[in-house]
Amino acid sequence: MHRLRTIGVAGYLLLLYGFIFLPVVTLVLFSFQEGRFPIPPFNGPSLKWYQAVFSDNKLTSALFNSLMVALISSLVSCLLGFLAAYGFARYRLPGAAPIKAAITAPLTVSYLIIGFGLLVTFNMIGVSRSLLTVGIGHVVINTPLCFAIIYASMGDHQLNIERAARDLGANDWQVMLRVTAPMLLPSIIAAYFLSVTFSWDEFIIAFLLSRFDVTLPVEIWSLLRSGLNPKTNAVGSVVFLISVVIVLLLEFIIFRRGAPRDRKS
Amino acid sequence: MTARVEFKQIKKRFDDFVALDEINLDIEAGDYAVLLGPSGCGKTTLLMILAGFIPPTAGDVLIGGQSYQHVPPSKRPTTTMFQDYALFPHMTVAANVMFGPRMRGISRRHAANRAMDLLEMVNLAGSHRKKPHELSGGQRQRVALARALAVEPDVLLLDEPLGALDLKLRRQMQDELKAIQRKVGTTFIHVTHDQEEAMAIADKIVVMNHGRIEDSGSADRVYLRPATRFTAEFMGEINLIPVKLSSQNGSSICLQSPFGVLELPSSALLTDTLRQGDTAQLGIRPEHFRLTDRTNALSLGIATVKSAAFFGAYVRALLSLEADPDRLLIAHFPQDSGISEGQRISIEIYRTSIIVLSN
Repeated sequence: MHRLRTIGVAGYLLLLYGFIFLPVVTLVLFSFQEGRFPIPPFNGPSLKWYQAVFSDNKLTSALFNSLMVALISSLVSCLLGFLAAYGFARYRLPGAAPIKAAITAPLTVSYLIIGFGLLVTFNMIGVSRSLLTVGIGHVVINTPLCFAIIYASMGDHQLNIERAARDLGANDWQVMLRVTAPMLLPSIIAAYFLSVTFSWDEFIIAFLLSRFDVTLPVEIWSLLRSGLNPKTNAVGSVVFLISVVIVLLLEFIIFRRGAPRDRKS
Repeated sequence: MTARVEFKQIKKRFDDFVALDEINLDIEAGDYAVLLGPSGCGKTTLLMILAGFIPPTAGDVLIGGQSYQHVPPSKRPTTTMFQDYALFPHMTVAANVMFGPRMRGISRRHAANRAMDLLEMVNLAGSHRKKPHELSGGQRQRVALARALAVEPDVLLLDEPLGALDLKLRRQMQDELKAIQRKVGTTFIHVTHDQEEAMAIADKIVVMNHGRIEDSGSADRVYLRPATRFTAEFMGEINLIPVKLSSQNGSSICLQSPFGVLELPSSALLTDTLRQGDTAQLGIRPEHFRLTDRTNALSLGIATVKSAAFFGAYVRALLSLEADPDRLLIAHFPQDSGISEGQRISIEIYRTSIIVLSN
C-alpha cells in the first residue's frame, strides 16, 4: 500500500515536470541535431548549429544588445522602485493610496498595450525607435515589479533601525545609503534579477520600439519567419541557458544570504 | 557626559487622546531614573519627546538647563536604546558600535578604539567581528548599550531594554546596567512596566498613569509610603480595606474599619485631604502580616486560611477574618510558617506598617 502510494506520487511528479519541461528538453535536444531539420529522428549530437549561431553577427550583436538592455534597464527600474518604496514606507504623503495604486497599475496592463502606447507617444514627441526606447519600455514594465518586491520587504522593524541610525547622528542620505539600502539588499537583488529575466525574455515591447538594433527575442522572431531549423533551437537553448544562470545566481545570492538569518530568528 | 533633565509642563495630544497631561519632572544629573507604568500610560511618549522623535504639544524639556525645541534627535545630547535593540543587521558588532562616532566625524581609528573599549566594558570584546544574528538576546542588548554609549551622550534613554529577555537574564542585566551606569556616570532614563525591575535599579522611580505622574521618589519610599492608591496597587500586591476617619488628634487617628475601631499613629495617613467622617482606604501589604505576638502590634483576631500556596521565598495565603469573613486578605508568611488550608490562625500587624490612602 505504502509502496503503491510512493509510486503514484513519483508518477505524478514525473508527469507534472514532463509537462513543464518537455518542450524545453525537445528544444535543447534538437539544437544538437546533425541534419537540417529539428524533427525526429535525432541524429547527432553535433555542435555545428551553435557554431552557426555564434558566427552569425546579427545574432551575437542582438544577444549583446539584449544583455545591455536587461542589465541597464533593470538597474534603473530597481533604483526607481527603491526610491518609491522608501518614500511610501517612510513618509506620510497626501493621497498615498491612489499614488501607490498608480505606480503598481502597469503590472495589470498587457505589454502589448504598454508597448503600443509608448510607440504612439514616442512618435508624437519625435523620439526615434532604438535600444534606448526599448530600455525605457522595460523600465516602464519593471519599475512596478521592483517597487512591489522592495516595498513588501520594508517593515516597522527597519523603521526602528533607521531611527537608531538617525539618533546616532546620521542624516537622511546617510540613513538611506548606509542603513536602509544595505539592509534591503537581498530584496533589491531579487528585484534586480527578476527584472533582468523579464527584460531578457520580453518580445512585444522590444519588437514595437526597436528599429535597426534589435534585442535577441526580436532577432529570433525574424529568424523563425524563415522557417524552423536547428539554428533556432540552438539560439533558443542559449537564451534558456542564460535565464537559468540568472535564476541560479538569484537563488544562490538570496537564499545563501538569507539562510543563517532565518535559522536564528 | 551627564546632565540634569527637566520636563516643564509637557503636554502631548494625539488627535482626541491626551497622552501626556502637564508633566513636570526633574531628574538629577547622574541619576538612574525609571519611568514606570502600565502600557498606554505615556511613559514611552515622554521618553520619545525627550529623545526628539516626537514633538510635545505644549511645554519644554531642558537638558543641562538648555532647551532643545525643534532640535532633531541626532543633534541632542541624548541617545536611545530601543526595545528591539535596532542593531544594524548587515554590520559587524564593531561596525555597529563605531557607527555613531563615525557619523559624528570621528576618525576611523579613534572610533574603532572607542568601540573596542566599550565592547570590553560590556564583556563582548571577543565578538567584535560577529554579526548581530550570531549573538544571543543578552549579547545583542549589550551591543546596543555599547553603541548608544559610544557617542558619549549626556542622557541615555532606554525603552523597555530588558523586555525581550527571560527572567533570569533580566535580573542579571539589571545589575549590569546599574553597574555600567555608575561607572560612566551618564544620566540613565529607563522605561518599564515591571515594578521589580524598577525597584532593583532606580535611584528614582517615576510612577505614571493616564498621562500623569502619580508618584516619584526612591524605591522604598514609593513602595512603603505611596502617594496615591494607584501607586500602592501598582508597586505590588496590597490589601485595600474601606474605612472611615472617625477622629484625629495630633499624634494618632481613629478609623472605623470592618474589623472594628483601629487606632493608628497619624504618620499612617499618607494624604492631607481627609477630614473627619471621610471614607478612605486602609492599605496592608501581604508581607506585613505576622503570626506571633509583638509589642506595638495590632491584633486582627482569628483568621481562617482559605488557601495557601508556596511561592519560593514565601507562602502566599488568602485569609478570611472572623470579624469580616466575606473579605479575602492576601498575606505572605515565611516559608517555614507551616500555614495550610483550613487552618485557623491568630494574626496581627505592626501599627507602623499600615497606611491610609484617599479613595
